[in-house]
Amino acid sequence: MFSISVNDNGEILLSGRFDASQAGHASEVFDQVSETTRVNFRDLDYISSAGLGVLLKTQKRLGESGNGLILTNMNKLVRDVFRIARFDVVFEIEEGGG
Amino acid sequence: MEKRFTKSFDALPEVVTFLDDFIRSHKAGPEVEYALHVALEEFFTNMVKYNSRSLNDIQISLWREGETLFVRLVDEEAEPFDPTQARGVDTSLPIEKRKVGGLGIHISKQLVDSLSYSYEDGKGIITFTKNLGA
Repeated sequence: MFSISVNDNGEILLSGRFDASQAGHASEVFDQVSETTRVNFRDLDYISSAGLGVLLKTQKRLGESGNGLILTNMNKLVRDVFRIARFDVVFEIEEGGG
Repeated sequence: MEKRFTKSFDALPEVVTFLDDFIRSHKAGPEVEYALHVALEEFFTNMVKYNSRSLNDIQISLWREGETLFVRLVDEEAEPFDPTQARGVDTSLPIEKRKVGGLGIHISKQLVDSLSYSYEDGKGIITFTKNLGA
């Protein structure tokens, strides 16, 4: 089960399992982002390279205008995947909370 | 446990459920669970992406030997592609040059304890393992 939503503050909330079967759906939301945006991982249990691809594509696009995603509240296992991919240097990641 | 799945992205949720049942029955911890899910998703979706012209199923086998969990995927009509020999991903590149291609295999290799590949009579066979104590 995966869900993606945008709260009143413009923060994107991810939950569940962000895998290859959900990348298209998630892209529809991330493609609407045009400025620096926080993405809350608190309820995200799982991400694979398909999910990382959606985030990377968005980060590249936003970077062209000096913007970017700020990723927050990752759990340890998701954080490990970012570290292995060395995406922890591609994104601004805020520690804590998760 | 053994089951056949349609060679399609649409089959991924069924693959996930199949692996979840196996993991639960062996009481694997969260790190083992995550590693097996990532690797199975990456190799299954690779087989779908790169061998999509053939419509055969992909057979997935899951079993345990001692404290080691085994996962095997068999694509009976495959082009040869050995993930153990896949070119590494340069994770030091600046963001503009980073790509997602190859990243799934890179992550999977880091998370599982062993990975092997064989190609016989048009069949591509990928086997990986994870120790329960990990």
